[in-house]
Amino acid sequence: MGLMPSSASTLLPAPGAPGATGAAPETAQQEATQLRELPDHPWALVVWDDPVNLMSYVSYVFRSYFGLEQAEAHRLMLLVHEEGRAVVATGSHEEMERHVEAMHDFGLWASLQKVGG
Amino acid sequence: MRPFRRTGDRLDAELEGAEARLIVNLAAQLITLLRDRSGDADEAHSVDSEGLDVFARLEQRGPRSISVDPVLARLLPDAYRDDEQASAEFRRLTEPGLIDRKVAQLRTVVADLTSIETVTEEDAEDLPVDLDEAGALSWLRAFTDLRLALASRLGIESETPRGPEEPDEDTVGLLAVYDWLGLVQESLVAALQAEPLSS
Repeated sequence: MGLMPSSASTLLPAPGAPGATGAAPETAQQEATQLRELPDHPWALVVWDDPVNLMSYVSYVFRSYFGLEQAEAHRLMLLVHEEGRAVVATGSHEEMERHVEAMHDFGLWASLQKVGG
Repeated sequence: MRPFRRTGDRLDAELEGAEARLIVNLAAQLITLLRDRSGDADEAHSVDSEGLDVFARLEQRGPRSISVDPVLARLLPDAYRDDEQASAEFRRLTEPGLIDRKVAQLRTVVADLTSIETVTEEDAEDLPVDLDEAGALSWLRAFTDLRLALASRLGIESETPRGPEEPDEDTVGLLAVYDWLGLVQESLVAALQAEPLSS
């Protein structure tokens, strides 16, 4: 989905590689905190930008899987694209693990992390 | 190729015979790679693959670490970026199912194309592809995995520049295939959203 080579190169180390997470946790935490109250939503689903998946496809996945309105799905897709990642959902650990697995079914690059750290 | 369009609840397109065979070939190779990962190599010989052995360029066997093969690392990513142990445990529980579903999607595409080719007259130039929404979803996901796999093999890490600076003939061909798969997928996404989603 990347049209921004300079940012894409920093976002593409293999999962788990040093530098792969970088500044993500605190930013993701801020985003997630804005989305929901903390105690009930301790985990966040993060979708990462990649240079392969079509923008229309990512938007379609957000819309069809999460049941989002087209405008909201499009906004989240652009956030992933422009920021390199976005918190797409927050909730329980089990719920976010299910979402990660579903995103991997779709071929999206997703991970989960604790909102509170 | 005539791109996908929606008619009622059907999604239809037309592919040339060579295009259909190319997709079948790539899908068969990716099935082999995924099956090899899950330790079930029987599938490897169920479909004849011809031409470029795209996904076999790197070592397929060997250590079970996911980092060995970039295609597998991208198709079956770590769920936790900052917790190796949690990722390994999640992988142990979910990877077999994930692989099974990815293989099933690829098989659906292969079966669809194979059955179309069988019932279509041999000298026909265009093969009609006609999918319901469930079939279209399998195609979408399978095409995504094929493009992700090709991109890994081609070293596509950003929109530009793509791949090696002085690509050899095979690479140029694969880049064209990669772009073409993207066109087909784009048309399918657009066709699927041409009417409100049913769910």
